[in-house]
Amino acid sequence: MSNDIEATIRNIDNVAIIDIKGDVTAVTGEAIEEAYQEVSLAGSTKILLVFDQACYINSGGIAILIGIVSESQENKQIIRITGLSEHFHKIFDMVGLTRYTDIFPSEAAALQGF
Amino acid sequence: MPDNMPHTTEPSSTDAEHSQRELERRIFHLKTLYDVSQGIGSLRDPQQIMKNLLLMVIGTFGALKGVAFLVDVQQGRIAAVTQRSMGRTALAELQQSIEAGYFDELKGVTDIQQVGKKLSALLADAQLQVWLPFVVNENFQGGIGLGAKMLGDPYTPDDRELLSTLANQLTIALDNALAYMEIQQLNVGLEATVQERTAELRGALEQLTEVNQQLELHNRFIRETFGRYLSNEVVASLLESPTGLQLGGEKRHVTILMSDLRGFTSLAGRLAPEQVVIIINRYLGAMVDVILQYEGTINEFIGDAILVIFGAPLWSQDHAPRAVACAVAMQLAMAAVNTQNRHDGLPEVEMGIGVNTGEVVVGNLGSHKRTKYGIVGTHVNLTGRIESYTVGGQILISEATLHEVGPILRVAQQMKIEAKGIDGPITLYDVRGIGGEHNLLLPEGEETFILLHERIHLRYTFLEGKYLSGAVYTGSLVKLSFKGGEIHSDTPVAPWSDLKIQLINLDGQPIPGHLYGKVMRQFSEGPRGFAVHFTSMAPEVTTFFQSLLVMGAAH
Repeated sequence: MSNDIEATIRNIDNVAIIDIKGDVTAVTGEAIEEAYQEVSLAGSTKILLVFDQACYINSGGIAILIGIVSESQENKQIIRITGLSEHFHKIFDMVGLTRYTDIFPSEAAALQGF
Repeated sequence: MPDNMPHTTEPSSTDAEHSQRELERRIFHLKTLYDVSQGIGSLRDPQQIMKNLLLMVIGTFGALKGVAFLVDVQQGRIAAVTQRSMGRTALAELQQSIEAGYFDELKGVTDIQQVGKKLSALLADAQLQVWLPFVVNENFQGGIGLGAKMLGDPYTPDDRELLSTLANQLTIALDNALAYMEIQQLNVGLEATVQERTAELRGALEQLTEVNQQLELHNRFIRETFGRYLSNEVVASLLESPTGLQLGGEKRHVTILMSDLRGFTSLAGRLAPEQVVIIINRYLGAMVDVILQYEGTINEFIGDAILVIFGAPLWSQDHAPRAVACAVAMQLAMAAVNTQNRHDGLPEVEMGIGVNTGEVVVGNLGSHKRTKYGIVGTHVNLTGRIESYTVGGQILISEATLHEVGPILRVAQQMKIEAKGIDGPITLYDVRGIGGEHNLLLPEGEETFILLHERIHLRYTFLEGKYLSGAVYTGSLVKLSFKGGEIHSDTPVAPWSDLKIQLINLDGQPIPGHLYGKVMRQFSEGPRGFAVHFTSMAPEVTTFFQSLLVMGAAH
């Protein structure tokens, strides 16, 4: 696992896109939280989390995402996810994240109809 | 498939998917266990350990919220707490309850069931679905609580078992972290102690430096005060045991030695200043060597006179015999001084020494600007008087010194005198040597008197101190030696009287040159007269006497 992570923000058609590169863990997940806080403060209601397919997500990272998803529910935000490998897609499904957010096979698919 | 092969029931696709999901779930849990062991095992901050573990637990079970806290039950405070989506209210209540003494009854308790019961009651309103207490040690207890799963499923026994395993890992990590913190605190304490001790040592060092500086000043004072006048051994003894030295002033039983060159004042008047300096320095140099050898304290040089103390500042039991031995050694050393004087064409000199023993005051004398280790008391004056009665080559000691030295003393004669400023007669003893460990004797050169073919008329007057008495008496020199003579005179003369003598030739004219002498004894029979020891004579007189002695020897 690497401690380096990049969470960069871009916007397309009122959608705040957070590109995540690197391993998502309890330690590095803070970078994603900060990016989420930033777009929330900017008033974004549509947020797309784009994971690099090569990234690794452990249980700590999943907890970070659960927190973000829970908060987005309270903030009336819609979060979509894309870029996950099949393995992590299954993990997200296993822990129930997919009940609160939709996972798309591609960025384009995610943006479609957002 | 061959028919002979047994048929097996193919699992339905739903069962296979379920098994696959279960397998992936277990792999995920195993991965979590691995991540936990890797992720928190190396951490040293309990707060960070708790946070990381709670996140991993929440992520593993997909819990919507969770809390983990560690309580220091001894201190009644939360040592570490972390939460996800619990809200501020729940945490504040937890904090308040703990601070209100909720855990008082758990102090020292390590029974996890008892701790768990108490903690679950505390968090009853927090809507936690699963609760796992843990006990790190008798002082630290805590728990992990999780809210509902995102999936809405209940926590299974497998979940609880996994949670228990994770809690065990947490306990181990916390135990290590707390031990590490304790060591750190000990280190901090130790560092503080070291700093404190270092400061104390620094202070002690500064004090020591100050004491050393004072000691150095003290030693310098001793060296400057005594270094020139004390032997190296005595100075070393003083420096080694400075407490034995009381410079403030004290009464001491000491022996005092005073030496003086006989007739040197008049001799100096006839010599060139350089010659005087040569003679004085040669004499004093030789005497100082002897005095230091006998560990005397040279208190003062007064012209050609030397005042020496034995028994101060460094006390010694044998001050009196050492003083007498020193006096004898000084007289013996004069032979070498005069040999050098003769070699340089300078006149010979003679020294008289007075020695006395008694109680005096010794200490620093003087003003703030100039102080000197000195000696005062009647015995100092008496020593000076005794010395004034000596003739060249003679050592006179007081009765006190005689008693102090004891039977090892060799005395030629004794005499009673009336000394100015001293009540009653005092007895002086003419020392010829000292036995014992010193074993020193003055040479027994018998003075040979020559009967003069023709007596030499003379006039004499008494010297009182440095002044002439005024009255002039007449007499005649009838016998002569190199050091003295016999004078016939009708005037009664007290022994030890100092005389100034004027010789008269056959024509009744004064013979040029002065002559001084000291009355050694009065004749008890025969013509009235006395024996005199010449203490100083002019070169003309010396020449005159030498011619008489040569003539007398020829006869």
